[in-house]
Amino acid sequence: MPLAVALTKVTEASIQQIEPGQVSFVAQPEQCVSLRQGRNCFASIKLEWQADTKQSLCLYQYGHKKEIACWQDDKTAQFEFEFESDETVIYQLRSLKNEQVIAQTQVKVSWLHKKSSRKKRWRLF
Amino acid sequence: MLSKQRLSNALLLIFTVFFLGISQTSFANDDTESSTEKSNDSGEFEWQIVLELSLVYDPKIIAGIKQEEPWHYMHPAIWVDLSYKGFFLQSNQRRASLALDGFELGYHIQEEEDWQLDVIIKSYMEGFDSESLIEYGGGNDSELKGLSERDSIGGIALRYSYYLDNALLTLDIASAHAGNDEHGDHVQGFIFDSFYSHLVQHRNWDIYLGAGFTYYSQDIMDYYIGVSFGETNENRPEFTAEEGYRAQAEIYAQHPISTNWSFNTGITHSYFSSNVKDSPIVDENQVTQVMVGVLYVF
Repeated sequence: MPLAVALTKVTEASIQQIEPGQVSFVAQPEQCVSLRQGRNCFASIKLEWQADTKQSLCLYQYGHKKEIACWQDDKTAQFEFEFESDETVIYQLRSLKNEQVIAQTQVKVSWLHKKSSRKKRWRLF
Repeated sequence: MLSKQRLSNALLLIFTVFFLGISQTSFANDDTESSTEKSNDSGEFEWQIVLELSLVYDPKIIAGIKQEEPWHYMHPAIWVDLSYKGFFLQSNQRRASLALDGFELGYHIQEEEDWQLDVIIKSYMEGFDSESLIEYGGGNDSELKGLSERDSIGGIALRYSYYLDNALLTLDIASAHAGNDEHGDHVQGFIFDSFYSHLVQHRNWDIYLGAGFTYYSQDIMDYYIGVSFGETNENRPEFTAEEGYRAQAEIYAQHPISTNWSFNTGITHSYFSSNVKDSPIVDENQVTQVMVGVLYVF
């Protein structure tokens, strides 16, 4: 299921503190690099989670209420989508029962050329 | 009837007055515009240093200059971009053509939202030294020996840049200067250089489609491809070149590899006016340059 394009303001302070748990949750690749700051970065992302015990979870994008995908009584799962954003995006796994955040990961957006005060967004400098 | 030199000087004066007139008129009309529509150049010191490592196929129109050894295809370079309070030093990275020698030193005369007027100093034509080329650069002895060194042709120019959303048009009117001719007189002429670059963004790719047109006055062309009496031999008669032009078409693409590295590649086809082939030292009036490499951004 392709992921809808969303721009989410993310700050470190707003990220919920997650206690180390039984679920391992990673994004591959975990970084997307665009040519210049402020420009949407494109990547094919795979989110993968693994657990020691069966889990019933839903995948959310931080700041969004609607779940992206859900799994019931699984120990592992993958989710692939086309990523497009100009900012780092956090993804969370929440319990199907009580929506408690079980694990989270992020796709970090970086760039080659930072924004310059000199005019025109597509000039290198 | 005006001599060609006087005509070139007259054209330079006319275009200079024209562009300065545009800037003054626009400035007067912009008096009531809000400050947010003006340039957002903060005037702060900004810099960027880029290391380029590339392989290039770079044929020349001058007969006898060929890339033969593997290192002739290697093109390492360091590009430095600086700007401070309207002054700037910028590298010509995104012109894939290697004939432009890279750097431009300039000052913003007028900078508006959609256009700007700069005075710049840059090199417009790469020179060559036949003796060095023969010894180190794969130059053909029989075709190059006896040719005097050609300095790079630099110029001080007015540059008008017009910005569209995904395109840039630049027009340079340059008073061009080279070395001395066979009589020891300083060579001076006129160059008009125009280039249009259109940006196509596809996912993380920047793809630039470009087209250019450059006019070289007779003095400049004669310095570069003319043959003086002292350079003649049994296969190379004396020759006086006429004015000429160059048209270019170019594709350049860049893609990030990491936060410091990018991949870049480009191809430029240059077509010179057919009269350049009348010169005994010109092999071709069309060349295609290809470049592929990586950039490291500090």
